[in-house]
Amino acid sequence: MRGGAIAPFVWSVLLIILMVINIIWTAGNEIQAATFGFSILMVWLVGLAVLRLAPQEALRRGEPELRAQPEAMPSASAAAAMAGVGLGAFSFGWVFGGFWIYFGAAVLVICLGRLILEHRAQRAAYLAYLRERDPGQKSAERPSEGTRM
Amino acid sequence: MPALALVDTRHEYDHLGEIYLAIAAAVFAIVVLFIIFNAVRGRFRALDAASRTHENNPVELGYAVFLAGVVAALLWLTFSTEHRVDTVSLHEKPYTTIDVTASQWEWSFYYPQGGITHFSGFHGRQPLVVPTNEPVRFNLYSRDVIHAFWVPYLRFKRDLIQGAREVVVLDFDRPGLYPGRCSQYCGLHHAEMVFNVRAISPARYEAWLRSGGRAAV
Amino acid sequence: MSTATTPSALTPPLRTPGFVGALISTDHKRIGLNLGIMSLIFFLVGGIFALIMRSQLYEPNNSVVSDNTYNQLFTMHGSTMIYLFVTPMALALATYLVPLQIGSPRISLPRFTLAGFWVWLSGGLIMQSGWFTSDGAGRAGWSAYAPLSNGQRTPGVGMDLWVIGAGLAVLGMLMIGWAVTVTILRRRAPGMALLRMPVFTWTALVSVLMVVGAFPVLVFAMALLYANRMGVAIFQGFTGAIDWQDLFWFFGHPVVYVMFFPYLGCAAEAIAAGAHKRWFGYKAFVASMMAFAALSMSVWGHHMFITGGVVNEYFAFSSTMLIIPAGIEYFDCIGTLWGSSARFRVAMLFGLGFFIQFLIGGLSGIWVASPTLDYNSYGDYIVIAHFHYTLFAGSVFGFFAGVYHWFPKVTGARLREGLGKVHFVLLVIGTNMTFGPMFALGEEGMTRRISRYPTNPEWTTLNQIETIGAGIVALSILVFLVNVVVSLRRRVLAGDDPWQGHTLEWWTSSPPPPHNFDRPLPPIRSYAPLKDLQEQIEDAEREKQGAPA
Repeated sequence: MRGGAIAPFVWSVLLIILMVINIIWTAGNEIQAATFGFSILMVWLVGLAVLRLAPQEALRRGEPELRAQPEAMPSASAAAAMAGVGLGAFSFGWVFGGFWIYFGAAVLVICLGRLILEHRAQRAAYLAYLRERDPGQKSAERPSEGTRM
Repeated sequence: MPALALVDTRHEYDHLGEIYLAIAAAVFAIVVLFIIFNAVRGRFRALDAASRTHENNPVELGYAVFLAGVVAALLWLTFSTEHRVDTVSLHEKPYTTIDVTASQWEWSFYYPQGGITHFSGFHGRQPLVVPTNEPVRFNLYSRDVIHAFWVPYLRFKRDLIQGAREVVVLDFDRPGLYPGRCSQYCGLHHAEMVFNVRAISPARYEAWLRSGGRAAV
Repeated sequence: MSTATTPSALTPPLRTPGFVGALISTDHKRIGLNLGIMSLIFFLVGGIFALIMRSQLYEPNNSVVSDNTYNQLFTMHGSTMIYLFVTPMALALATYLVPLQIGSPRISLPRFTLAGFWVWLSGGLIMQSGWFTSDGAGRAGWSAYAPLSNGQRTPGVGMDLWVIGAGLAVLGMLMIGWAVTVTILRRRAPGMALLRMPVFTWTALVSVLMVVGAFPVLVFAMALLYANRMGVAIFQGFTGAIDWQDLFWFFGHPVVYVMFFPYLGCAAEAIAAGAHKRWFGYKAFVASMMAFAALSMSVWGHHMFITGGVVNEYFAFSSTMLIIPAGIEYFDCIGTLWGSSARFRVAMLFGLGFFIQFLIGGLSGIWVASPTLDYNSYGDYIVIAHFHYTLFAGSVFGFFAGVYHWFPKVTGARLREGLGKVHFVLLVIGTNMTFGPMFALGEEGMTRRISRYPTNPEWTTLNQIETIGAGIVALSILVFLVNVVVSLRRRVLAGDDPWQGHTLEWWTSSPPPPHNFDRPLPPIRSYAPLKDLQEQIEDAEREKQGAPA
């Protein structure tokens, strides 16, 4: 995706400038510099993720092009919703102990497993579609577009 | 006539506040007038007669530079005031020192010169007695959570945090009875953590100290 | 064009989602709507807390509620409004609108977004569940200052639930923020370069970048606070107290701007549509948003001016610097209205209301950015007035501008203009009656978070005006709810583009189909692609009529 990673990187430059001013002005307040640095790292993480997903495009300026490939998208995911609820129940268990911790953890683990299965099924459906579209031809296209982010 | 205290927080606040308030009021009036005037004028323009001008970067840049000038001016005013309130005041030679210790939900005022301790808050309501027109040094302590020592008349407050001593030097410009309170939320009876400041002339203050804090103020 | 990316063969036709189907849908519109509706419910809950507090403060030394209950009420009012209404609502708007505005059929990471919604909702419910415990809900303020928030000073399960609930709610919003960020960066339609993204999308982008940068800090801080409550010595003594404030406000101030930028975007879109003119000064606006967001990541210490634990000058500097980008926003607002053909529809009124009312919050913000002035204003009703003018008179007005602007898109039906105007007028009156007198109260020495104040005729009068104002606010919200119900029951169909909108969401049907666009997108050559088309048509007509060139 053209230019995708530019936004977080440009923004992080502004943050770095402000952090440097902060470090100089406060004569090196550790917790402030550490927190500031950590958050800049988080912003970089987004930029790097985009860079990794679209190495050719992410830093190039200009308009995004037409996506030639079809893509698969989910329409519902009970596992994702229940994973969220499971995490909630698990955390709730830290206060009310026993049952909630085990219940939440079990739901979370099962749903994470389910999510992997869902992901595989989505990929399988996508590949099946590609085969159907171009029969007899091993698709050279990377099937990633359909499943990644 | 005792030497006048150098830094009067109330005066500093009012002086700086007047400037800020005047600028804010002017900006508010101008911006609101611009918004309403242009919107109402637009109400009477035909739908297809709207201007298509949608950019004027040189003017915006000029405006940003102008705003940077405003920022510089405001910061200069603020920093010089803050310098007097925070730094210059600490270099004044205090006439007297009072230890203020906050705890849930009580103030204790200790006057080392008279060996007196008084309390105000959830139980009891003994005033904090101070001399007028003299720099008074306060050592601020907290015994538990964070409290804040606030005398609205002085336009000044400071946190009291356990494990550290905060030192402030304040000046009360005229005799009177001023309410004070804790302005950092400190738990169940935060609302009860109040005190009064009784400012009296230095001569009366000396007499009050000699009486062991029993003389009427 | 974008339909090319969504072959129907891969996506089985969606069943009309039942109740469960709506809760597990990975459609960004469904997730955004669910998040918005739940946030709105929390808004009503938080509003009820506020009304109880205002009743308590109607008279000096009143006893509507006990001190303990009052402390829980203000803690939960702040927490509900910030963690469970204004911030998630901003993200709900972004989740719903961003893919539409950038011409994408979907959101990135849809399952992750859905999980984020449920984590956030679990957190919200866990936080509120504190009310049903014997110690009551959290009661250490929404900022939970150490050492007051430790296990010894604020014991009880309700406070533990508050800590966990706040941490989870923020974690959920962080997940949604990540998904929106990746969507904006990766899913723009062909032709939509970064500098052609609509104004709202830009405000959403800088907001979610701040979410990504700042929200992990709070999740981390809440975990530490929980351990601290369990007896692990973390936030001890002076350094510990300051460390907590540094960590908390590193999240706590950026979140204020996450609660502001998207609503600024709402107001801007509503004003541009209402003025029949594209938003003025786009490039300057984008640059100022970047600067605005960066600066607002570095102003957190202005909450700590009176602690003696931070370098006040740096934070006074960065906070006062906010004048520059904020000035540019106002310049662009006036520029948009200049030479416009403004029509005062309700969305436009709320947009203008946002800019005018927020100005009071912004200017008082410059006031409290000055340490010396803050020495008096900190922790009293001046600060309460200041941030309610930014969050309520500002963000909530921007929110309603967005609601009136996009309601036809989301539901296919228009909101009633008449009821909308009643809602607007009542809200303006109520807001200023409630929060205006707070400036005077603060200046006269009333501190925040107190359940009772001494008898003082002037304070009593001011407080009574405020309480009546709060009642008017409640009434106006009621009018709004009636408006929603009436408009949904007896639909006035809106059509695809009732406002001659500028951005791509008005290109599709109302409500949008499952994959957002059932027809090819128009060419995208600017941040207002539909406005380009309208202007082309206008020009062609003028030419046909033989108007002089």
